[in-house]
Amino acid sequence: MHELYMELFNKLGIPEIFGEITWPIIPFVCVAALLIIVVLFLVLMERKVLAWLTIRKGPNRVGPFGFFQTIADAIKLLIKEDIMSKDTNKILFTLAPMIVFAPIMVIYGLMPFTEKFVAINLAAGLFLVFALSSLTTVGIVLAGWASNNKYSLLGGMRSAAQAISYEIPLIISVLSIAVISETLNLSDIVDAQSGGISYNILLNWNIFSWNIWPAFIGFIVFFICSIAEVNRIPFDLPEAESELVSGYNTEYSGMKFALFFLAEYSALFIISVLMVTLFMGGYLSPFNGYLSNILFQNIIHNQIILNIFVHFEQAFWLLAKTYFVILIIMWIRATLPRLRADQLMTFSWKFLLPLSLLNLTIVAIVKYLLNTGNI
Amino acid sequence: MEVIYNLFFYLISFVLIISALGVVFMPRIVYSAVSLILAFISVAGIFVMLNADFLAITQIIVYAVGITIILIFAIMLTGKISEKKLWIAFAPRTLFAFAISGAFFVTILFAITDGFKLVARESNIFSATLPSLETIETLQTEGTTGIIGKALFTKYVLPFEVLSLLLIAAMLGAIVMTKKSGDNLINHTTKTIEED
Repeated sequence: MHELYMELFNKLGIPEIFGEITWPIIPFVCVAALLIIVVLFLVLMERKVLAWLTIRKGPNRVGPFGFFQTIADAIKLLIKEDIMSKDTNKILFTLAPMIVFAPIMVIYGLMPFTEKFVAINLAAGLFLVFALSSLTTVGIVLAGWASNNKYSLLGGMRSAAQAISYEIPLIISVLSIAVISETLNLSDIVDAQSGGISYNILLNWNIFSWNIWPAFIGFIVFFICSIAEVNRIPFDLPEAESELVSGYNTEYSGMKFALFFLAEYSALFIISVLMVTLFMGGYLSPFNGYLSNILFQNIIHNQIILNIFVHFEQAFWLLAKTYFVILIIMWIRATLPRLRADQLMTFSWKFLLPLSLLNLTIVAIVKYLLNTGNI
Repeated sequence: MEVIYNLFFYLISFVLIISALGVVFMPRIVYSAVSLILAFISVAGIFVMLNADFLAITQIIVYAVGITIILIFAIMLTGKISEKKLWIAFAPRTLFAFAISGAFFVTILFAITDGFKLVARESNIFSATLPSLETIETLQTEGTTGIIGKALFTKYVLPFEVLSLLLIAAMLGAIVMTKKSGDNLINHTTKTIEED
């Protein structure tokens, strides 16, 4: 691909240096397009699923079954007037949505959607994901402060406190994954989950070697903490409507609000993809080998076309698992009430943190026994 | 590739210098804090250019997020400072601050020019020679996380543990300072024995 791209520049007579500089930007353009599509679909899905769970109809006017509702909403947000009240800190008010949104877009590039579709394949990718996701907290706090509104400030403060206290059990539970797969590279973590536990039939399915089995407690801790990280019910204190109007984004409107909205739903998608990548085998199929390999190998003999099919299948498995996780998160939203602020802190420090340490200990012992060959 | 490397280096250095100046000369303290974030991230960028990926990410997670969030919290909770415009005062205290930072500057200047080479030749902690091309290539593909981890748990295990002792001392200090005198510190594993 790289040679092809450079050849294009040669034919057009543009110096090669511009090609070298613009080459790394291309994956980001793809990722940005993916992000928009994912969020548009996710908003619609959330509204439809919540309507279904609470026995309502949901959006059903724009397009067939209301499919174009989010597109209409997006257009509405784009052409809305950008209101900024007089006492806001104008520079930080404008800067905050960008600080929230930019790191999340980089995290999209780090995710292994298929074997080859990884925009940035980094050796310490897993570590960078958490570094960048914590960077969004700074933006939220700044948004709360710059709005010059007590509800926004409270929302921003709550968000920072929540993100900091839930990040600790989250990262310790992820540490167990690093222990199991002996790497921080996300693609390698997925690869390490293939192969099953034995060569026997059925036991060699990939589903048996997913990280969820040795690190099951870690998975539960990760799941709870990830809901808290993306500020969703029952942990949606930073934007509790009944107490804080809308939290840190109360004063925002138009495109700036759209950026917050986009960041929130992208974070939901990202954390689900991360959960699937770390615990549920990422883009691997749950069976032994890929279905398209088994089904088409007698029909299609061209290896390249077969590989394309395999890539589509990998994307399918990843998205299927991810949307399953998102469905459960939405189900929780429709079911549970909100926690109190003190309950939130106690739950994290006194329950989740010891549990994540227990998980790390169990995983380390299992790994040691496996390495010495005692199991 | 050489040109691109240089281009990015000068770009990051430019942003770093401008944001570092911004930290000092911005009239409002919140702007200083925000430009400090930018300065920290630019330093992370320079670490990336030196193939130190683990260090760069640690720079972001500890300094650009952890430290600055505490700073911003402190600024928000002391509401009156954030409203005012501040400027450098010409007082003896300022001269003292200039002297200290000047001493640091000279030290660093000495370290990165002649001093470093001298120290490197005398001791075997720093290797005076540049790493070979193969070493750099393996660093770029495998990252530095494993090497740093091994070094921390073998060669530098004593300094590492001493540092953790420092953190525990800081934590205990925070608990003692915030503890009210009437607080009950008895936990679930111990109980008071009733005396008849």
